[in-house]
Amino acid sequence: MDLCRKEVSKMFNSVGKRVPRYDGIGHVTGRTQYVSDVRMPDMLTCKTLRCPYHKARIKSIDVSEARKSSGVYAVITKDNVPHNLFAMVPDHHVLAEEITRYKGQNIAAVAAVSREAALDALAKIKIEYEELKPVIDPEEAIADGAPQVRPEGNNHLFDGTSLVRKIRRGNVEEGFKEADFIVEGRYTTPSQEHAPMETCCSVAYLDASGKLVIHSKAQGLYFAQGDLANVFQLPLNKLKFVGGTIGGGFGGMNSIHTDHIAGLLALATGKPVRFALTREEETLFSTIRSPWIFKIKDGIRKDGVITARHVEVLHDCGAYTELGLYAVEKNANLIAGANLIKNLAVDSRMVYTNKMPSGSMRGFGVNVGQYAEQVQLDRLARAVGISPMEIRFINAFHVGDKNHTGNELASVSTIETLQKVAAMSGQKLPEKYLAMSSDK
Amino acid sequence: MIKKGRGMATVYYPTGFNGGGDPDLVSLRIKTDGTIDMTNASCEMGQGFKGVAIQMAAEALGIPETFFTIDNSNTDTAAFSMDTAGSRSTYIVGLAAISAAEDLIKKIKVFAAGSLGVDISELKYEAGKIFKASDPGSSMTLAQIGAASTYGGTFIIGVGGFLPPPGPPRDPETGATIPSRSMAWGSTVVDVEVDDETGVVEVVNLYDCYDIGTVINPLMAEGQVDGGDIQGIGMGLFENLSPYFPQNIDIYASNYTDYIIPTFMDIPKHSEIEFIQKHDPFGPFGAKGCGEMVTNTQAPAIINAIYDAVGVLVESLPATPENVLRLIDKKNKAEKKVA
Repeated sequence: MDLCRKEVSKMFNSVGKRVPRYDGIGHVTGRTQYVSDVRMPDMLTCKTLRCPYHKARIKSIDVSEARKSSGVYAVITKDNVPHNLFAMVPDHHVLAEEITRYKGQNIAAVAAVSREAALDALAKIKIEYEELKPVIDPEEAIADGAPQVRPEGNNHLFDGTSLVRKIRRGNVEEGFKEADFIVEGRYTTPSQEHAPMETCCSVAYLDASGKLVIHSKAQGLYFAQGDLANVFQLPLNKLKFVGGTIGGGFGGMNSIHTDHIAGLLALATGKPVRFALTREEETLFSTIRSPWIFKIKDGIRKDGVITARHVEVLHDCGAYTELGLYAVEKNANLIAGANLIKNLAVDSRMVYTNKMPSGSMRGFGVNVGQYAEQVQLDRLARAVGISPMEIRFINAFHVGDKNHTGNELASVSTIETLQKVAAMSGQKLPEKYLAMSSDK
Repeated sequence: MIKKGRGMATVYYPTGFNGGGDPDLVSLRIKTDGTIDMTNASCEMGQGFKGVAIQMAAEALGIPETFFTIDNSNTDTAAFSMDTAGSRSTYIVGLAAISAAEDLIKKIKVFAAGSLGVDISELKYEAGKIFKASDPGSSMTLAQIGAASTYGGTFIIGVGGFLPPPGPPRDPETGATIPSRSMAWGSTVVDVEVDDETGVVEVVNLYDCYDIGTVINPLMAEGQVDGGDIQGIGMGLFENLSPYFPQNIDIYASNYTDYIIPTFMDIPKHSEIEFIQKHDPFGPFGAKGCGEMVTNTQAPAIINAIYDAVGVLVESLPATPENVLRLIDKKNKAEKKVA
């Protein structure tokens, strides 16, 4: 531990102490009650009918036989949802409308006495689809004449008017003229699953006063409550979310996967309803880290200073906005990385495709860009013939610098973390880098 | 043949929601024995939120953590939290806890002034005790305050909140705004071994140095970093739900046989974590956000190390054995052609 650390522990009593995990013993002995552990008397099981196509028109749906099926208490479709829109940007349908937009989209839900009874009922739902041509590739989706994912079109319009979120600083063309080398790269990141230990699960019931109570895996109980109060059309004193200790989130539990449908079925049946995703459902049908494409063009001088950068970003948001827009905005702010780049242009686009909607995932919008940016940075170093360490020292931010969105940086330490990590990994740094400081 | 390589990456990462404007509230209720019920509805999902929140409230009140219990369990009783996301909880809940502690001390002073018959301006609060500055014998402990207030029909509850200042609306032409006032920083170095006959990449050494400002609980912070390292290795080497994207997304992996996430076997043989604690002028006790930043540097550092080892650049994540081997094959063929 360095000196800094010792000073901190002298200053504080509780802060800085290695206090053991507050509820760690409960976790490792099985005493902790997760949502997945919650069981109630007379609890019903929920299963949902999911769309088997990337895109389809639901020509007709008949749930009458399913409702008569043995052990079934309720079968619901979009017609039984008080307000059929949810999510951070509330454009996602709780249960599909006429046109489905992604494979696995929920269309109908059943509450029954057992998993078997629920699955039997699902099989009795008569549904007629017309399969429609989807668009899967984000680069195809932005082209003219591409199949439309949403009635409003496939492109998100920033500020209601612009196809791109623009970040501009200095003059990129001038910066490229100043450069000794121009280096270009294209990088892509795939879709990723959060893979929490506990799959998504809800148990919803009406308490003695008639209040709807939902045991939820939400990362933000109030976030989910506010969103779903709208779906259920309930005041906040009639809707209670219970949870707060969950078996992993990693951003996946910022999106609602089971709370809405469990709640609707509890309201419909008056009985406790449990809706838990299997591992397969969690992997296939819960939100993901969606794919990104980055194109970076850089100008760099022989002395290692990056003179200009132009970044083009394309985010594949999937079929609904969910948290995709937030990710694009954050990505745009940070895609140029922890380097002072005086001449910068970022053009970020977000496109809708017929896929699972883009959720949040740890490093949300940033670590995908950081991969592209940091691999590109090494490419630049090779072009100039300097080391990966050197290029990062040369272009580092200092205290008081403005970052690429005009944020004045108050507490800065790229240089210090580089010095420290070099020492940790046994790399000898030239004296001039050891003498550097973020404080200028 | 096993080829060794070294790679690195840096990162800076904002604390809190992009653009600010994401409040949290905290309440601190004193009980008849002087212990404190803290509430805030942030989620405990393995990161160690509850203990860290208590440590900050304990620091603000100058009393041990053991005085506290925390309720984050439901929306009827726990104080509002915007969300548990965006590397925000330590920072925003911490600032809300400081504000609630200040409110609690103010209310304790009002109550004690009446009980002790002392003017409020003469009272000082320190480490769980309220006393007359000029006569420290004239004092009350938290236990005495808790009992006397509750049984005397006075409800003492400290409440506070914090709102990260909302950034100005973005300039549509320059994109300028203030996404976050506080940024955390970091650098990572990794050493890899690449088998150029199988394409298998192994991370052997991993060195992280992060500046998350004041480290509230090093044990939890190191846990976050260890988890971030593993998740970053998964992102760099294994994880892809749709390997044939964008041409085809039908072959989705649906289980952990097909969808590979790192296991204990993939943890680097050697890893080191160091924190540089640069005080943040806005954060609670100088802290910055931690949770997400610590899973940014691993993937690029690994890709840079693979290049160092075998001279191929993985431009599409992840660097699976198949991807690495195809790139090596392409490189060998190109070199043969030149020869």
